[in-house]
Amino acid sequence: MIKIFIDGQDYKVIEGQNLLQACLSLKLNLPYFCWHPSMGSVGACRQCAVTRYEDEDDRQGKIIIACMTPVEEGMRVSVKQSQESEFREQIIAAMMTHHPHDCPVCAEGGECHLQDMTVMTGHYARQFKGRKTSFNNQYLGPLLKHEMNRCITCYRCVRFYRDYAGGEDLSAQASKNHVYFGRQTDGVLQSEFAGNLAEVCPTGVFTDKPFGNHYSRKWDMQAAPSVCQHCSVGCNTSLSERYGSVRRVTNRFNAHLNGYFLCDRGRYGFDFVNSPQRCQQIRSSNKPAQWQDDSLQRVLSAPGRWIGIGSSQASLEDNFALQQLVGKDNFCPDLDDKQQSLMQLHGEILQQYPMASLAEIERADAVLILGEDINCSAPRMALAIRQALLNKARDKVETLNVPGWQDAAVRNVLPDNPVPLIWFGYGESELQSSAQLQLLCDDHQAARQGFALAGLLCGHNVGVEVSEAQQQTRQAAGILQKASRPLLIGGWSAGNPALLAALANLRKALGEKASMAIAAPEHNSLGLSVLMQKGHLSAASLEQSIDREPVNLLVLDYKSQSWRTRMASLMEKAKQTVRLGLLGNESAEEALLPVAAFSECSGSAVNYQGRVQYWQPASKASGDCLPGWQWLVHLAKIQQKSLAEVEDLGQLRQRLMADYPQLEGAWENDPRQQAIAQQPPRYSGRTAMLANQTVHEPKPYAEPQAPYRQSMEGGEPRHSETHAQPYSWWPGWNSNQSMHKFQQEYRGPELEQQHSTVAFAHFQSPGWFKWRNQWSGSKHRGYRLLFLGQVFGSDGLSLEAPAIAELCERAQLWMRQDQADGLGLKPGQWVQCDGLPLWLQVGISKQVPQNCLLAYVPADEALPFKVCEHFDVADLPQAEALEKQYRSHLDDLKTNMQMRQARLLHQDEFIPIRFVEGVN
Amino acid sequence: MDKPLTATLNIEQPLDLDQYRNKGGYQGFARALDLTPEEVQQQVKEANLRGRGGAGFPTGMKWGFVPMGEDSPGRKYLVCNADEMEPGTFKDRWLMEGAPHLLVEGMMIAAYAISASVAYLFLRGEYRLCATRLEKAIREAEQAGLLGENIQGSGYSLNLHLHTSAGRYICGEETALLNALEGKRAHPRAKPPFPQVVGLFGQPTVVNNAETLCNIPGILRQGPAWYQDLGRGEDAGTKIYGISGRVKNPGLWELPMGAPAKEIFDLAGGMQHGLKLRGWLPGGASTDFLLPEHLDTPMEYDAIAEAGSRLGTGGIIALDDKHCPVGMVLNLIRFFAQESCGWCTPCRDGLPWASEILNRIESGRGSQEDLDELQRLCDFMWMGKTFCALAPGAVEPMSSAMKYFADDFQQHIDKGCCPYRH
Repeated sequence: MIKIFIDGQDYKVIEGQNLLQACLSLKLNLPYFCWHPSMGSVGACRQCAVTRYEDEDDRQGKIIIACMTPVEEGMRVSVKQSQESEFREQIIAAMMTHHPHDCPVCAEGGECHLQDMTVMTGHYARQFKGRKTSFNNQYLGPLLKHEMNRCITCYRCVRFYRDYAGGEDLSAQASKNHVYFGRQTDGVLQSEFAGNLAEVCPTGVFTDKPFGNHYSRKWDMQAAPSVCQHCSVGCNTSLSERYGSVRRVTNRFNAHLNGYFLCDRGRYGFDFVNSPQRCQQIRSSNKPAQWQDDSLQRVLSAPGRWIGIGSSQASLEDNFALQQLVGKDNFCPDLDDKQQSLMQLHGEILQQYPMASLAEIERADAVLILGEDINCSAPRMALAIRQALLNKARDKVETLNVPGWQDAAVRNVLPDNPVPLIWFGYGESELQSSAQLQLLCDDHQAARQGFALAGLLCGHNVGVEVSEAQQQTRQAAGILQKASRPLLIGGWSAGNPALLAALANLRKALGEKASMAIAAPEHNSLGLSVLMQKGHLSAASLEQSIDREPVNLLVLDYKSQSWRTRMASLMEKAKQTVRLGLLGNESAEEALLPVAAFSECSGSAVNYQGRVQYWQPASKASGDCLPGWQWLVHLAKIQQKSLAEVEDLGQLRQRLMADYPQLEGAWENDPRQQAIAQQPPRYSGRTAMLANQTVHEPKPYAEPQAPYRQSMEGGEPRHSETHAQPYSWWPGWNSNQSMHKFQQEYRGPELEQQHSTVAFAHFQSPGWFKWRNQWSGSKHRGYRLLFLGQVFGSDGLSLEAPAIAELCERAQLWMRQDQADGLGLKPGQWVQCDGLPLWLQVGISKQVPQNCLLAYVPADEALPFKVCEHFDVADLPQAEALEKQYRSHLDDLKTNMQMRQARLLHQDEFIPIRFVEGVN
Repeated sequence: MDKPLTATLNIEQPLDLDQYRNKGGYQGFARALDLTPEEVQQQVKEANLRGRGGAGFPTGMKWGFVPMGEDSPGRKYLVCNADEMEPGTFKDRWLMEGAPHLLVEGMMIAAYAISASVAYLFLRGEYRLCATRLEKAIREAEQAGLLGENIQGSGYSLNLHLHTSAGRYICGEETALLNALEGKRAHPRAKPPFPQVVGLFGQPTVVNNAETLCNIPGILRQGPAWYQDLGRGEDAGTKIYGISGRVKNPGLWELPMGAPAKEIFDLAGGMQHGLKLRGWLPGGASTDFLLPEHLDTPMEYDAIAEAGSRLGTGGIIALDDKHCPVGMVLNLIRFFAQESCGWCTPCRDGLPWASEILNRIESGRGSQEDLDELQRLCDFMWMGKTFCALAPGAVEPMSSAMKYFADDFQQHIDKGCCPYRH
């Protein structure tokens, strides 16, 4: 810490920061636009000007730009004197020469950084008498709306999109006061992080399109702290609700995980909660039913063995309640044999090694990605890995006495100072293309090379002969050995446990300097893994049991198509099935109990690190929906099980902690704490004079004992050490940029301790994983299909969000040119594999290993084969029919989207707002 | 008097390699190869050569910031800034059209002095004839073994490439030039790091003006003492001075550094018939106006600065008494507003604003408040507040015109029209 003087007062600030960071951390109001905590300084907007003085006697000083100036011991600056204040006001005045006065119709209004900064500088009267420039807007796809006239040319959008996220199709064009930020032509933005532009843009050039279609001002919405449900990272989000429907997801800052950014699957995928496909009614024998109905009660109280099938997409609490109800020996996770062995191994590794947070990932100085399609399985993690690639360039500029936050300097030296990225695997992706060292191979080969690499690093055989190591593997050994913070990345994408074992061996071989992250398939896969520690019914024994004796199935909702296919066969054999359903009405179960979505009830999940994170409801469950665990408590009452004694979530969590002591402390619950307001303290119709007499809105919903209240009255979140902020706000800062004021230091050299409970706390002393025979690939005829994912398409839940569904591509089959020639196939052709009904489009890629083909199948379709020999090409009429089918699918999507919007708007009209006559 | 810059200059038909060599060409380079790079730097330091691009930074000192020796980066670059786009300035064009080998030799010596293995000549796109002649000179030098691998057995290798600019004024700013050369948007870069440490493609790079580089062969051939003596005042060497505007004989002359402006006006034959000099910009459009009373000031960096302006490029623009100073400033500000790269706010939005106000004043629709606003804008776009020197440069003629020709501005407002047109 060093001492600096601001307006005559001395402050302690962190050395190495820039002056703007220091001022914001001290909660001083200093306006800015182009700076961003995670994108560094470029000095373009000149908004954060302050005056610097040579010494105590210097009265005149000199204007400097705070974000470009490192703090120095004894430095003297002023931020409130007229010289700098007038200059800052002029900057706004200059930006306003073109900015339209359209705040009332702008979706950013009320949470606009430009509005806040304009008010902060005191600019109010327009001096410029000329005409404003106007631009054409572009169609940028279903996620973002473009309104270029509002642009103040801060360059943040392109700096995020191109530099930070690696996108290529958005750029700054033209010059002088006609700089244009857009694509070369209209079209869908290609980056899966494009949605962040809505938050990165300080004004309304890029706005959230689905939100705009069912819009509400920030101050009229209730927000709840939530956790993303679309991959195992568990990014922290904020859900905004009005009139019972969830309107949008925004980023909720978490220094260790998502920081300031989300992926688009997480930002837009939430919309499944508003889907017309949501289960709303209790159904029995395929008819709407009531809880009291005898027929339903008969089903629920059926004698015999009850087997519960958990879900890696349901919360920890729901799964635990199910386990309690049916008993651990009757509790079966929604995994097949292969996945269960993956889960087993993953659990073992988690008990031996901690997993790197995204903040730690960003600090790596060498990265190995072992056979994992990380771009799809954990997009936000891929973005973090991308940031690690800058570390050597940052070190380089620091040796030249240039601070690492000087973004342009870092990027200038980047080409000659790359962080080595090693890629063992297949398929094309952004990270793969920036890899320095690549080995194109299938998952078996990647795993064996991983074992050999570990052998090279530790000097003895750990299951695979070191002599098997290929040239790239030997090079990789050199790189990893030299690195001081090597990072190992793996996951479940290839469905091969050997990859995880190889990763653990590498971690052991590299020792404490290395960190590791393994992506799990679903957001709560590891929650299931925790519950499985107490024992469970394996997939094989489930099949046996069901063949042997009549059983009743109690199923938490499931979504993936392949699992659905498997479930259908199980259900046929079962005596009866009760489903706790979230989506989809059509099925053959005996009873359906509709469950509340994550936006409607509290719940927890265990992320890839093993950390327990929990979310709060943003709205009340509609229809007959209840949280899954509540249904299970009701069931327990009928079946007279001990779970029936649970009265509320707190008690359920008490039981959970009693059974799994490592979860102790995972949930903060301090009844003395004043409930935190979920609404920003802004004036609106709700708080207008006499509103209590003339306008009535429905009573806000609050979960009993929840530490949040749907009101603007209540504790301010910024005063709470323990509770997550529902929305981001600070006096004078209504936009999400207010978050920047809370950061003492964002991902600086010293990482703060991560405060949350790790569900795999008891680390065992690590041992080597030996190569197991079942991991070796079997000989096969034909081609082995390796499955690849897509950010939009491989996650079933988000496909229920129309904006995501629109971006979902059709099934594809990639092969090398020589393979295509051998098979007589051409790119663009449609083929079927071994007579299966699914059609796949042929694509050409260099990244296809020998004897393999790469397949992508959307989550709502299934391709059960792993090996195939014959390909039937669609003839012309078939191809035309497919095209026609696809076009009509797109039309349906569009119609559905319009119908959904109309339904939601219609719903809003019937919110009982009552005007009382006689009051003026 | 020695005229090292123009001695070999022939604008009709420049000397080819042999003719240039016969006149002592490439002797400076040969001399340099006998010295170590550090010794070459020392020679230029001793000669007290200052950059001719406008800022007047000592060339030897600039080179001195480049990391040298065994541990220094393997790749370094020399870049010649020949993107001559300053209004009223055409000196580099004259040198490049008339004496292309002089520039090539200067670049070779400079590259050797910093141990650069690649040199780029960044040429203004419109200078087609320069491009043809320079390309020819480079080819001749390559064929004669003066460029390429292991030059004349010295162990030193240099490749020289000509790059013609796609055309923006900002490319004359050295860091924007580097971005343009890398194929990026021509935005200036933040300093530090300076290009000498992190320059082209992230490597140590020196960017020198074309005229500066043309001075170097003479220094190496005839020594720093000889060069020092060429100057008449504080600064060393000779300089190409030019004049445009309504003088009898606009043109360019090589004169000793420190020759008074009056001498240049005399060479140009004075003002055209019936016109009197009102004011003059000493070195291109982005310098402050000076008055006839300043004509005796020596044309060298410090003396002109003392008089309240900058020597800049040494290309004088004369304003006569029959032309409207407001109209002239409007014309210049329009140019600068058009050429702003769009990176920082004061320049991008301030210059069009100033241009809009000037346009109204010039067409008689201005008000007293407009004058105040214009004054505020001058302050708004001043040094330190903008990202680079483009906007402060643009402010110089505007703020000095408002000082020296305040009456003219006032009359536009009082009469509601331009007094020079009615």
